[in-house]
Amino acid sequence: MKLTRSILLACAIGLSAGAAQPAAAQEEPFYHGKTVTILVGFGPGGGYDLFARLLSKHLPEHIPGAPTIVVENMGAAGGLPAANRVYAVAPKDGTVIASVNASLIVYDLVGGSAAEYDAKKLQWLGSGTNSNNSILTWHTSGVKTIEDAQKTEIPVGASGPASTSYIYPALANAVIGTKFKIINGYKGSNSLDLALESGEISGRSGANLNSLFARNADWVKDKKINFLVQIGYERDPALPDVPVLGELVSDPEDKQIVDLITLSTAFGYNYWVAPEVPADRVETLQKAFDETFADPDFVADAEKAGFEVRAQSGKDLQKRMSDVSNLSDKVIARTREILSIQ
Amino acid sequence: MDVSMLDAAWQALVVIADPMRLLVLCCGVVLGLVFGILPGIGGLAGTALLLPFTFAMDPATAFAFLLGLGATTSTGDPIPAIMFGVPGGAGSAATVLDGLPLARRGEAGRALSAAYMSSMLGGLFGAALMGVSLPFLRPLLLQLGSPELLAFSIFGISMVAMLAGNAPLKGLAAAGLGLMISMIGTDPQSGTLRWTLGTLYLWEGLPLVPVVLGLFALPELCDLLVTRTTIATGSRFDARSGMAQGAKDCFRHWWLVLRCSWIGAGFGAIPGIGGSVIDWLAYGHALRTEKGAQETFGRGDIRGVIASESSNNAKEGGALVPTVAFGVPGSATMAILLGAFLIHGLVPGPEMLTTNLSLTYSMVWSIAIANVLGAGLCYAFSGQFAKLATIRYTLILPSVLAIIYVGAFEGTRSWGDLYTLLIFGVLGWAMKHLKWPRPPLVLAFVLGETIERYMFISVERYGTDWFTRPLVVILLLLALVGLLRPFVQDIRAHGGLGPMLGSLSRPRLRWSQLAFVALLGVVALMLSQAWSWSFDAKAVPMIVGFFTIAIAAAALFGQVFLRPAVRPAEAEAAAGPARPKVSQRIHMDLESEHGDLPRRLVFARAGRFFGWLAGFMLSMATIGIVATVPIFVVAFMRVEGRERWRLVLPQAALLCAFVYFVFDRLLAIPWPPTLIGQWLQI
Repeated sequence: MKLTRSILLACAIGLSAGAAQPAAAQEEPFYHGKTVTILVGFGPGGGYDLFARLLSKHLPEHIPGAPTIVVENMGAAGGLPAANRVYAVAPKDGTVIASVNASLIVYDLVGGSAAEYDAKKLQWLGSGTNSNNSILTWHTSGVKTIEDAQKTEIPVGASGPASTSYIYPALANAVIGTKFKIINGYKGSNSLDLALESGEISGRSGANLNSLFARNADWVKDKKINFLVQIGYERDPALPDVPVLGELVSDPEDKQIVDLITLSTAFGYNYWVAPEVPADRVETLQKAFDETFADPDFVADAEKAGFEVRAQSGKDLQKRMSDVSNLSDKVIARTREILSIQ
Repeated sequence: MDVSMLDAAWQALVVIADPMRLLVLCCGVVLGLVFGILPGIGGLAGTALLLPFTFAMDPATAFAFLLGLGATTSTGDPIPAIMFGVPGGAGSAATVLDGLPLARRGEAGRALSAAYMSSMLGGLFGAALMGVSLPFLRPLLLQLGSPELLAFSIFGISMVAMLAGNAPLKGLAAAGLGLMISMIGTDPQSGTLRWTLGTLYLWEGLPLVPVVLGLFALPELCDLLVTRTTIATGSRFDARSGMAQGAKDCFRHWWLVLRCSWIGAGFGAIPGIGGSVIDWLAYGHALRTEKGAQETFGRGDIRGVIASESSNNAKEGGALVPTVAFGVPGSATMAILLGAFLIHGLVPGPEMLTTNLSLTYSMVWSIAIANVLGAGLCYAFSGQFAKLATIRYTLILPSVLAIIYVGAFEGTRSWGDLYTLLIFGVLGWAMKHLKWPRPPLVLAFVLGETIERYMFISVERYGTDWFTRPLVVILLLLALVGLLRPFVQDIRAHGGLGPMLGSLSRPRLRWSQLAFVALLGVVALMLSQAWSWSFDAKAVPMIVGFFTIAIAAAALFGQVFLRPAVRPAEAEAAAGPARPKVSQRIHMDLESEHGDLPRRLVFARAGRFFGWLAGFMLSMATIGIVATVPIFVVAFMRVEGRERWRLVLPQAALLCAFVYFVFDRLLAIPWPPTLIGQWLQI
């Protein structure tokens, strides 16, 4: 019986280890026969998840060795456990890719204590799409422009202090003196839309323009909503007359805070691997991401699902990171306050 | 409008009747049943898994597939609930209460049959209600603001009084604990991390699935080990005749089926309430309104099974309403369905009720057809399922336990889920043995979060005005009546409050009263931690905490100092037949059936059970879950039952292969890293 048990044990270990055996032969590309995991820091069904699943279909053709790509979800706690896992626990051989909310980068840059990753050390592979965010009001709210919002208090719905629906209005209140009364507690973007339509709230933020245009095309067409301000580094071509928040801020410190918080919008659906992943494999993956984002098949598939591909290469993201990495203690303290990080 | 509606409905039927689509729908149904039967693995995992496969399908086929799967998981759910007392999903926990006693009496066939039939009728009803009410949905839902949703949730939670059965104070205290637990996690107002014990795991609060599996599934399995028997003990067994009886039961109680379907579809349509408490709401309703229910529910009354099952299948039709009309998912499965909308370039909202109306109707048909198919398949295989109740515990227990572990891990996919499972398993077992009703705890746990959320929105947005909205007033009054009635009955039975308090006696101390002390201690500890939070973060926890302490203290006082309630016979004699027979109100939970086992033996065996669980987790941490499953099965069967190797090895191998292929390969679950894996650097 003892013997049988140890044989069983050996078999079982073999089974569980089988997925990650070392490369068989030298001449074959590393990714041949491998399984690459994209760990998504959101539950199934949302934008990050769907975009990753589209990628998993097209990315293999562009990686030498054509690995199988699977998408795993760890949606808890805003994706923090997913980011921690890819950085600290998962294999560092280039077979595990993180796709988590870019606001987690900001979270670490201002010293969020639950981050086990160092945002400055991540190796960036690229970003598939990004889209400006905005603060908008319902047409009956009486607040049509950002100037109105600086004079009149209106209820603005939000889904909690860690969500962009709270952070952007709070940021505007802090740096340009708007009078948004933020009401937390709505569950998810669509609940906010419903509350907006029923008149329970007068305004909201947190929805990126891309998905807003796809989901509520009639609101834009019938002028049901007013865009007060955009969150992003540049104005969206579709809203040439709506200022971005950064334009309205003159104080250099405030501007730094706005730029830092805007990062989470600008990075969009981003992908990175842990710092220990060998440079040649990072290069292989960076190239594969660039090629996939330029692949007409992928672009067509993404468009069908309502995503407009706006690629940023891994090197682009790397550069943006170095732009925001030098922060004074005061900027960090104020940003933490706006983000409600304790 | 009517003509175009009928037209759209007819067109949709033609679309769905396409043989290829029906075939795809069938696939969805079969998968849904399988996911439903596996405890803890609900439609959520399945839908998420299969979403990518629908990319290439046309919208009607894709939704037929996904809805087929989503709608039938709750048809498969009652099977483990009735056979093992292990709810197949969070939505069928109430089925256990009467389903398991029926199975114990050898009436598993009848219970299963009634469950399928009421599932089917409920599902059909939900779909029909949705079909008929489509045109009015948007304007209707726009009238429901946060205050109304708050009032609905409060009405829901008033059911705890009913579900507390003959132990109202214990029930309320359990509900208080449930509310406290529901507030663990990031506070939606201030972002305060409440009682997260410094772990990331608790940031978003405790996940429902491990909590429900721990509270309801583990205690049943533990007692199976304690009594060392089969589930159906020594009774004659005839699945077939039971099947006919079960279907007949269902039609005889058609009015109950109808009402519970209403509850299911109605509450299913309210975002935030969700499927996990609908079964309890329907069960509570049946308990309150059905004749004689107060004496027989929880002891194997078929109406309990019918109420629970007809409501939880009706909810999918209801949940589709806010999903389609506003893109606000009515249930977890529906949230994934929204992803499918996105993929197919569809926008939930007015368009789904105008341009795409026929597609919307094809969804309604999909749900309806899936329910019929699902019930049919279940009937076809039921004879086999029902035999499970006659199998030795050593054969059943290891496999079911292993699957429960995997199912609990689906909660948030981290170690915390397994600790949660274990902790709530112990809590559930203790509650079961000390006769603390568990349903109020679950109900409060689920609704607590919703109530706090909507309460803050209502107060912040409307001040005190929200209190005067007509629907709110009606619902709150109904809740008040529901909450107070059992207490008024109790007080009357004692002949008024005066005599009740007058009957003080010398203090009587029992070991079981330590449970009150433990509860008081835990709540006091939680309150002391909450003291330093900001007002927004601590307001509700403080109120609930002090309420719980007051209730628990009162109950403890009653147990120590009050004379036991008058015996039923004496009460009747004294009060006359017109008085309500309160003392006979049932214990609102399963009774432990240890017969004449000495207490020490019970505890020793229960300890052994939880020892096995701890061993499973230890092994899982060391060598991983896929390797642990066969080892666990072999070890358990050999040590506990001395089963023959001929039985042991195939079962271990099969289960291992199943877990490996379905969960590791197909569902790509990110297992926690193992010690041995880190040691070997893989």
